Amino acid sequence: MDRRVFLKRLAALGTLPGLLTSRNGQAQEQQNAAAGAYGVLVDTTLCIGCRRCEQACNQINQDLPRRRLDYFKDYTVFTKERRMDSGTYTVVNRYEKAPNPAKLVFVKFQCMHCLSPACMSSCIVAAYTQEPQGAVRYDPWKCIGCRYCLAACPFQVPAYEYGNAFAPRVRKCTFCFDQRLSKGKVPACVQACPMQVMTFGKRSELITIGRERINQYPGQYLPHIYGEHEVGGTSWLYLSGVPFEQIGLPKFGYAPIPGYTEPIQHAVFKYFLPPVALYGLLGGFMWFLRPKKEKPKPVPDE
Amino acid sequence: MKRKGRVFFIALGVGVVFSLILGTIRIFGATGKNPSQGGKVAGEQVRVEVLPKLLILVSTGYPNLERPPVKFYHDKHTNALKKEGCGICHPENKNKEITGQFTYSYPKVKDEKNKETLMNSYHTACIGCHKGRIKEGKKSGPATCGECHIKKAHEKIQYLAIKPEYYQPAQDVYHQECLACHKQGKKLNKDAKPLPWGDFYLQVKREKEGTGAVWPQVHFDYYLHYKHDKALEKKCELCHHIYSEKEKKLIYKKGTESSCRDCHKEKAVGETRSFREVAHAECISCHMERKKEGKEAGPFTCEGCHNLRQRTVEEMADIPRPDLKQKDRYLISIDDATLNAVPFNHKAHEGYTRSCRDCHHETMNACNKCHTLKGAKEGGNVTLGEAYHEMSSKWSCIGCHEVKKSEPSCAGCHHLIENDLTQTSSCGVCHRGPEEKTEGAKMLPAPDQLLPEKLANQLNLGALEKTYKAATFPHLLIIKKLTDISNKDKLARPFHTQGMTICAGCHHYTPMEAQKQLAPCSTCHSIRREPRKSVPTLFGAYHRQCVGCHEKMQLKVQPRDCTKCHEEKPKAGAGGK
Repeated sequence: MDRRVFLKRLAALGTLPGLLTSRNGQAQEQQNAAAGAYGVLVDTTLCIGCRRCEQACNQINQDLPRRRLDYFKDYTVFTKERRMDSGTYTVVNRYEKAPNPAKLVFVKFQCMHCLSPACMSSCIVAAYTQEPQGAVRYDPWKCIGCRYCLAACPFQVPAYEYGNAFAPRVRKCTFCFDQRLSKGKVPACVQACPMQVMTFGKRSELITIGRERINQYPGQYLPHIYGEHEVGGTSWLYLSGVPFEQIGLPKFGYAPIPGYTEPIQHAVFKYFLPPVALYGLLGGFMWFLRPKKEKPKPVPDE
Repeated sequence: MKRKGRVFFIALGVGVVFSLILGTIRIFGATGKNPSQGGKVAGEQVRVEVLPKLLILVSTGYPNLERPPVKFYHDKHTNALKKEGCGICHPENKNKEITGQFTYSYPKVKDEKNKETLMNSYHTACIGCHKGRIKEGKKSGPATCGECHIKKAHEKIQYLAIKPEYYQPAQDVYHQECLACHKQGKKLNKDAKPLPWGDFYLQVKREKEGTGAVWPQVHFDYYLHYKHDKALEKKCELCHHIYSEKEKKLIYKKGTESSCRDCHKEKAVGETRSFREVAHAECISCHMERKKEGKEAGPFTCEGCHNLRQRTVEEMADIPRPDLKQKDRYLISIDDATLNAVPFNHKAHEGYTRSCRDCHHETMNACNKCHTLKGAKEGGNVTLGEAYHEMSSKWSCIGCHEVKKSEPSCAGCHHLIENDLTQTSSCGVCHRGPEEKTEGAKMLPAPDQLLPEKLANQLNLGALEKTYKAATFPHLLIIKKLTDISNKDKLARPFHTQGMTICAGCHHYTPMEAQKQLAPCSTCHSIRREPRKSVPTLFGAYHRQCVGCHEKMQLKVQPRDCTKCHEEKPKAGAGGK
């Protein structure tokens, strides 16, 4: 065979180890449940769109751009479907509840604090860490600004400070970790909500509570807790009376996002064996095919 | 580099740049939306429900088609071919047993051997007619492929769901017809974008709730029946018939009149045609005949019947109901009953329904004909007790009452009250035993007799006063309004027997006595700020109760802005809370 055919076949063989490793999503869920990670159950049927949660988030996070209180009493923002940006960790969006357009559903969006965070997996400098309490934390000191996390997140949560020329950071909800969660207190948005749309507690208990609520009022809720298994499970769980796709929560599979990339990534560099083996093999071939020392030609007698 | 090589690389570069530009245009050309696939955002204007054009999606059941299915606008053709009549497209009815001049299948000559022949049948019929008319210089439809097989047209789900031969529920249509091209992830037809199930879920839900698939279902209600009764001079035999097993044919027997749907179901069963077929064959044929004879006739276009102009229950209050010699009152009981018999006012209940089928959902018989005590096959193995008491059924007594309780005037309290038939003591409201006539149920006493003397009419709720002042709560006003609603409602009055019933709507899980002070909300709902799992804090309890009630009762004032109920305190210094 010639060199090109050889290389092609070698590349094909190199992907084989990736098929052997399994996805570790379920293991992560069980680990976290055992560790007593916290979560929040959001009941979208109760939210009235008053935006107190946005206001509380802005107040507790002093490094966010300061906003006047009447900024959060502006309800014309609901005409557009908003996203989190570099100055907002959480937004509330309004959706019509088909088939009755007069019925409105308000949904709060923020970082979902996944159990198998795609952002953490995609970060090449490990700027994301997952705390045992369930929060996914971002460390701006380690960040190099590559923005892989923006691409990786299935919910498109992280926002980048494009306007900051010298020290741009990735911005996303912190689960109030420094200020509250690390001390066992509820996040600011959960406490501020007048309708108590959000229930804070251990994730495993919240699933039980969610199921009980669905059983108690079957006409009011869809029999599904969004985030229980989606993308490997998230800490922020949602209940809804209308299909989740219609209120901005996309339909995802249950496999965790890192489960698609990490098997290949890890397999290709597992204990550095594959690269070493490859170079060893190449080296071996080179040695085998090294030019043989030629015997000097007998000089013809002149 | 050689000359040829250089040209090649320049060409490659141009190609790359060109495709990049195209790609960018394509990305910005598409509607930039959130990953949410179906999230519609409410505008500020109120949306008016407008019926889209009623089109028939001509589906054949064959997958992997080259072109999208044709969306056929039938009404256009009906109006254009009034003179020629139905016979120009539809084959004549050869079966003399069935009335109606035409069978509504299309085309006249249909070769269903395979995909090719079926396509040719359609094309010969449709395009042939169009081409013929063009030759004659008349106004005609399109004759080219793309004008009938419109690509973008069938995106809107509202136009779908009718297969010509038999009615296919939206769910089947989705799986068999739509996914044939729009298979998520796999694109069998390269123009077909993934079609999210979320949009269809609503169609299926609407069908299951009976609010009509895509086309507004024609509910043959009391008004329509009365109209036909009057126009046909009470000749019931013109529409009603039953199948006689003995004579093996359709006969008319007085006293057996009932709904067509009792025998004609969604799908054809043996010789019995589907309801869809008979409704169109019989109704439209009759209308057309009468029109020819110059008499007053009903509509024969799709939109003529399938529209949003059906009457509501209130609008039909004065319409006389069909007379099957039914009694005004019935005494419902069984042998060896534990409870008293139920004196059922049938005449009054006729005023709460749109047609007899709202209760008599399979036959015009009484419930106990098919629903036996232990359950029988004819009754779908639903026992008699279930038939009367099942809460989730829209045909049972309790079930229909439940539906009424979810209306805005009742939902304020009732959305929070869990319903458990075993706990309730209201069996006696219905199981009263035989009585000559229904006595008017007692009214609730005026609130003044229930409230403690010293209680203010307007309460100041200040337990949580912090950023906002104490909330001013018009307690007496609300009680008066709710008492009023209850006293005026014929369903509420018999059940709201206890004087303190209205109070129990908000003051739950607490014993109460008239004119005595009730336990404050803070007894169980803590004033601490941190919410716990099961019981909301006082903060949550107040807002859920008040704002929740406003929402459920669909009041004009929806207090999203906090200051509607409690004023803001003037800020002392810098910053807010």
